[in-house]
Amino acid sequence: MSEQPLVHATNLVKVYQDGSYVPVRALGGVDFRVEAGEFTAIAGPSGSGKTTLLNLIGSLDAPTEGRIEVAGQDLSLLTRKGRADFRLNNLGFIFQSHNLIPVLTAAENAEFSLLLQGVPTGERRRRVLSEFADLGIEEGLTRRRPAKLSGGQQQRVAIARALVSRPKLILADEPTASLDSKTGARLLDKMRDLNERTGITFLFSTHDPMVIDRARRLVVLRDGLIASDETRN
Amino acid sequence: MIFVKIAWRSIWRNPRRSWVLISAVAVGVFAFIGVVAYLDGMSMQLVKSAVELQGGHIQVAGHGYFENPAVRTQVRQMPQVATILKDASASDVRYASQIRAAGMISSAEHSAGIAIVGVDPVQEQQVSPVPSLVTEGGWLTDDPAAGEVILGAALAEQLGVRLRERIVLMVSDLDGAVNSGAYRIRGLFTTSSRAFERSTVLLHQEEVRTLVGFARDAVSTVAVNIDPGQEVLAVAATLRAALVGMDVEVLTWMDRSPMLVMMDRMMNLVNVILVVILFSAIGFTLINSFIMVIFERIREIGIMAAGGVRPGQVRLLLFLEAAFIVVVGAAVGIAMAAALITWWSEVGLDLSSFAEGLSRFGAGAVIYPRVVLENMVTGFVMIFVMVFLAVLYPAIKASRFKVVDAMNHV
Ligand SMILES: Nc1ncnc2c1ncn2[C@@H]1O[C@H](COP(=O)(O)OP(=O)(O)OP(=O)(O)O)[C@@H](O)[C@H]1O
Ligand SMILES: [Mg+2]
Repeated sequence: MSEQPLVHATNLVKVYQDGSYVPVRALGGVDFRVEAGEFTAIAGPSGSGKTTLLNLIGSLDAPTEGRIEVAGQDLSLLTRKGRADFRLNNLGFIFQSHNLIPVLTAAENAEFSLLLQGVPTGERRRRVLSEFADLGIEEGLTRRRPAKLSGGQQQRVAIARALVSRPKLILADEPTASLDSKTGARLLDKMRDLNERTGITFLFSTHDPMVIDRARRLVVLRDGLIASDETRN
Repeated sequence: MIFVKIAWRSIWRNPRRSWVLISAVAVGVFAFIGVVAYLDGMSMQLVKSAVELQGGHIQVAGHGYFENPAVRTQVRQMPQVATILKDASASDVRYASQIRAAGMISSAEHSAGIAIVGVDPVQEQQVSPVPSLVTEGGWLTDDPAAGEVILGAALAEQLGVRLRERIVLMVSDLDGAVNSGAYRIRGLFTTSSRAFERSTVLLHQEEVRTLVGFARDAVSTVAVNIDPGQEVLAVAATLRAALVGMDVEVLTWMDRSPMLVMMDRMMNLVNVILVVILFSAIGFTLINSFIMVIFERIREIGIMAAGGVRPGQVRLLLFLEAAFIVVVGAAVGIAMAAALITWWSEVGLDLSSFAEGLSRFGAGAVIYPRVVLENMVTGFVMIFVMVFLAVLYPAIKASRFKVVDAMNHV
């Protein structure tokens, strides 16, 4: 029997229906599996449902129909607090921009999940500094608040924050969209490198050809359905 | 803790708004302390003057006198009681005996029912505020046959008599015979208690003794006053034990005036009401500001939630922010109030300049503040409860944001 997949979504339907708007069927019954260790990009035109799918997997929103299991956990069985704890211990998020808490310094932002997990101070420092070194965040930046960092620096701190607690799955919604291509490429190589070294699973949503080029599996969504799904080597 | 850090730094992100809130809390706390100190000071002065007018902190009387003040109910061995009072208690106990009888006062045109109080002019000065409240003429001399009385200015007005004019007192003696005597008005007193002023006539104890027919060693009541440091109940208990066998009862002012006790207790309720009034305005300001705060921070609340911050921790964060504002505001308010009270304790608050009618209070017109810790604490607990309630709604709202909605919000 094969190992259980890290993400197992069956017949996912998401209908947005707020206010007086016509209901939007963002996902129209998606079956989707992600195995541990993948480095996968979800592509597709704007409005095809990429962010919606990522949010459902990340337990940030609930599907209208269907079922999602992540790391063996049926997300529909969790309470609000249970979902928070689940995210803390299993998931890392990288959003397009404005990822950081403005009143905390770069280092404090990066150690945030470790603080919530109750990791002791010395251990926290050590892991954050090593992550920063890995991502090329200079010593001088650690005590700066996000407003005093460039977009690329902020994004690196966000990646460090997502990585530092070694989650099972990192969900990155257009992480390079706010970066110039050189910075974007460097960060992507870093993430791919981490994926190879540590086996952390990455799931991207993207329009960016650089991400699509580097992904080992490419899933294309169209109108809320999977249009193609290819694994390359 | 990380949330303490975030909360503290967050309030300084919008210093202007935070200072507005802090000032509001400071002014509220300042006003609260000021008013409560004033009310507590006033209530203490009222209690003090009422108690002292009405027979002292502790009253010794014949058994059953308080229930039914009959002339036959007496303290029959005053010299022994006096000795015991001096021996049994600390040297600073002050006492004065009275012979009391109900009677009638008449001028040429009018008459009125009154209480006749025969006092020892010297002792009475140590216990009763009346000697110092004489505003016209003078206090009684220690001459047992002077034929002089002191009465309330209001009563004199009612009778149409003035200083040095004559009045007639009529009283039935112990055998039921009606006796009377004519007296000259030596002094008029004014008090804050109109009822007392209209119904009380004081004269030398020996004159009343003759008039009513009390035995040489008998009196009706003994008023005992204690110093501020002493505990009324403890002194009363000591006296009660020491006076066993004298056939007397020992009652504190609390036994005799449950209304005053209730009034003292009411102060706590007044505090609560005051806080509710002062802080409901501040509460609405807080609700408003915090609703603004959570909508400004919707994005970062979403980031925190995505990162594993629990709903309870989001609420905690907002409560901490509110708590910091209250603590800073209260510190400022307390500092201002302390300065006010220090200055005020020295000069007093002279109400006579505010209200014409109050000038007749005499010494009572100047109010000194009094800080009763218990009452202040009740107030502060209430302030925290109010602030907690004000922040409750925004906090619950923030903890229920859907993370996705928060993330779409930039
Ligand atoms: N909160 C929402 N309320 C209503 N409709 C929504 C909401 N979020 C997304 N949608 C709609 O659902 C559909 C899918 O949106 P989604 O954000 O998943 O697309 P996407 O593939 O991520 O697009 P993009 O590439 O532009 O980020 C769109 O039609 C969008 O308008
Ligand atoms: Mg999207």
